[in-house]
Amino acid sequence: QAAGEQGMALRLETQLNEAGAAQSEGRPVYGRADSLSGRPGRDFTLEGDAELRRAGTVVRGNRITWYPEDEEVLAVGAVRVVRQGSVITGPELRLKLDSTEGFFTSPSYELPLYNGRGQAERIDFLGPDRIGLRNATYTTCRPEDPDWVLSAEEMVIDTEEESGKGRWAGLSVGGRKVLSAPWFAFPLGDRRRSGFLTPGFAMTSRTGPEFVVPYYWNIAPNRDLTLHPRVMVRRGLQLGGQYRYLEHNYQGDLKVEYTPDDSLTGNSRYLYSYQHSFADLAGWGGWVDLRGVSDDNYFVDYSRSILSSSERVLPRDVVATRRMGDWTLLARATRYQSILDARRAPPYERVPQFNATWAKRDVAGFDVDAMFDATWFQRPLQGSPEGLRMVAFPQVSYPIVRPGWFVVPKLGLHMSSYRLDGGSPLTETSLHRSVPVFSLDAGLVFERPTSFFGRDLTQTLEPRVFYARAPYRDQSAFPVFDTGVADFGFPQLFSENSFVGHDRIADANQLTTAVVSRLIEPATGAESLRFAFGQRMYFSDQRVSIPGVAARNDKRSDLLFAATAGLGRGMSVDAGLQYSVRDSEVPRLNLLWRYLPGDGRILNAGVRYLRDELGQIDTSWRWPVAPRWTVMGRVNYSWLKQRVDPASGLLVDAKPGIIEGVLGFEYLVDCWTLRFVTQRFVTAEGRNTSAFFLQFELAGLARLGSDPFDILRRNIPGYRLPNDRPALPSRFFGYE
Amino acid sequence: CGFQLRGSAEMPFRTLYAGFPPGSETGLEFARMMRGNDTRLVARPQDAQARLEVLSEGREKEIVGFSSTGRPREHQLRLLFSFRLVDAGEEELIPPTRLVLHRDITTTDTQYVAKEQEEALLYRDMQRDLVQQLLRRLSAARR
Repeated sequence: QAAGEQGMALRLETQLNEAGAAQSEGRPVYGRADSLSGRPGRDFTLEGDAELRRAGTVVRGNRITWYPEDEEVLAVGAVRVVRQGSVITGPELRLKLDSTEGFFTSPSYELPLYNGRGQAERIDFLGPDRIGLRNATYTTCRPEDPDWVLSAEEMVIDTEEESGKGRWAGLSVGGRKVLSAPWFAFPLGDRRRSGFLTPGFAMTSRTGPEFVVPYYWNIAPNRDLTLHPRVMVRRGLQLGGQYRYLEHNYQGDLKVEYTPDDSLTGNSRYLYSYQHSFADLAGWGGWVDLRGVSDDNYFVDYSRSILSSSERVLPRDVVATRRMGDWTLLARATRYQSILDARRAPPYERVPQFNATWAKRDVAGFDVDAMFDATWFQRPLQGSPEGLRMVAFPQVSYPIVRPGWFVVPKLGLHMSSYRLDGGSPLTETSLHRSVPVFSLDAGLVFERPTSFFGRDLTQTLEPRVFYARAPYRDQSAFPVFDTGVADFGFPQLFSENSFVGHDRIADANQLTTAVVSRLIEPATGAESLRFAFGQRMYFSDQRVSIPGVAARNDKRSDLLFAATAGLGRGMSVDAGLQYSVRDSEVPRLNLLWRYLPGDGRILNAGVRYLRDELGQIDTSWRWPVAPRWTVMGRVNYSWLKQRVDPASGLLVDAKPGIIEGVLGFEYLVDCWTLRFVTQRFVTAEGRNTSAFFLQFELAGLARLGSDPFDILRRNIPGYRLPNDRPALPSRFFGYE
Repeated sequence: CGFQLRGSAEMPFRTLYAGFPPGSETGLEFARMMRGNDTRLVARPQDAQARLEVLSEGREKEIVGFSSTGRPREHQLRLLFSFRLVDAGEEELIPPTRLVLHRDITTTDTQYVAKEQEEALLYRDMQRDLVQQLLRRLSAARR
């Protein structure tokens, strides 16, 4: 009680603290045995179930003799030493406790931290963290009948460096020698170190069989370089490299791939990608993003996943920003390399853009925002209007926010001015426009206690209305540089402008109503279920439109529904639906069901539909089917027979089929894994790439073959490396 | 039907230090939503009865829908936020907790720049939603 009054509390440590125990110097020595004999100051002999311990080291045996003068231990008969996370057993040991030097004859050893074990003719202790082994074996398999064994004439295991090194070594799998080497090294943990990484082999339908031997150079803790020379049977040699650096106020990543002579196309081909971000450079922060390829078909020919093969617009972007009090400044230059179909409708480039925003909060209750922008737009497409656009957009709002309700009136004035270059198809070369925009956002939050499937929960009911008003201004003569129609979604419902970008300001006289209801766990405040509904009412037809998109003329918008729920037992559902009352149809639908019951079992199933653009069933899984077998994969199937061509806006034929398919098997034994993954994805109109990966992994030693994990991780949400090591346990893990 | 207007979201502490990085938009929104709350935000951690520690805040963007020709048509934007709450005696009131929010957005190459601005709109919406969830969790903190 007294302690409580003084405010003392025990703090929970999740791991035993290392600092005290590692220091053995000057620590007392404790002994225990059936009988003790000896000469004080010279030697002591413990006999029968003897044990001697000193901080960091425990020695057990039938008979232990301790020479205090030399700090030396001699142990005989069923000797067992536990120190620095290693357990060594054998018939005889001589060990100096101060320097932890000594030797063991015909011992077996175990490294519980790394799940490794083996035997040796002799073990020498080479200081606190290193042991040297002669004629030794090492495996991570169970000791009785190991499926694979690494053997070496000489081996050094360093638990500080977390590495093993050996000379005159061989690897036996299933009792048969498969590999021998004059020198080898293997990692104990996951620490980064320089050296060759395990070679990979894979096969894709566009490069043929390929073989890569990556070399990793750990230049400094914050800098590394990986080189991956790759031999592709159908295309020749490729040199690849990645250089990464990380400093306290800047970091970067440079990737290069270069094929000097592609044997199929007969020319040199390359890819580069450079990302650099910085902070606090004379007060400025920002980034550089440069990407490029030698030719339009680079990704089609070389990509190993749909992520890169789908790219059509590669940015060359330089941005600098800085904050000065309530001001945020931005200077930017952006160009793009547009390839394949993106050449027909490339995005506008900003060369350059200057932007400033001013945000002042709570000036006598008012929030003030102002945005100023000047951008020179260019487009590498014949006949496109180009020029300078200047925008100023001040807005004032008066937010009244209370726990149970809020009202936010807002008034803004959007002003813009264009100066178009000669040669543009537009007759006017100078255009001005100003549009006042008013909105009123208001909502209520109700709550009630409820119970759901026997659980006590809080249910909320949150109605919200949003009214927007903006007068009509004829904008048909204005060019469209950076503007499009916003998606019809919940966040966009509460936006004054139905366009995104500054080239079109929609005339508006409309009211959005929405209701959200949530179920909340009272103990944690966590949301376990959410349901939302929304619709917009239009009091006038929209007259401002964007070329190629018809102006809206209905009185009520489509209905929007959304639901997210954690159903317990690892199950969750996420759904979104747009329903058109007028046409009685569903223009957009997302449905995702996830089941993660644990034990690495994953099941995802979903549907995505966007009228005339997307229609697909997407399912992925990882499921153990037999004691040692796991099947994993993904099927993403598109059923659409017609789609909108983004460049022309016209409906074109589409072929139903698998966009991305992955099938893999994993055969997992305690100390090795065989993994087989095959993948097929669409790279362009009517073209596919298939890839095939085979990997043989000796747990805790090496992975032979290509790394399919990126593919699995991306395609199977929730997938983790099966041997992902949890955080290393404390050294007292396995303490005796 | 039992619904009542939500009262003041009472937090089990009178003063709070919110450890958002300087200039954080989520931090600004948080400060705005704390107006009218009984718990007061303070500028120095040592003056606060409780401290909100922002462990990480990050954004992710992933392609979730490919067209039948293998072109991206739908992205998912995610806002990832980790925090914990400790009192003045360093005792943990809320252990490290991760909140993940997501919004989907359609995409085409021709609207590359327009979509950039729409993404900003969606991130603002997620920040607002995140702050709501955060306030609920802070109010439910161990008393």
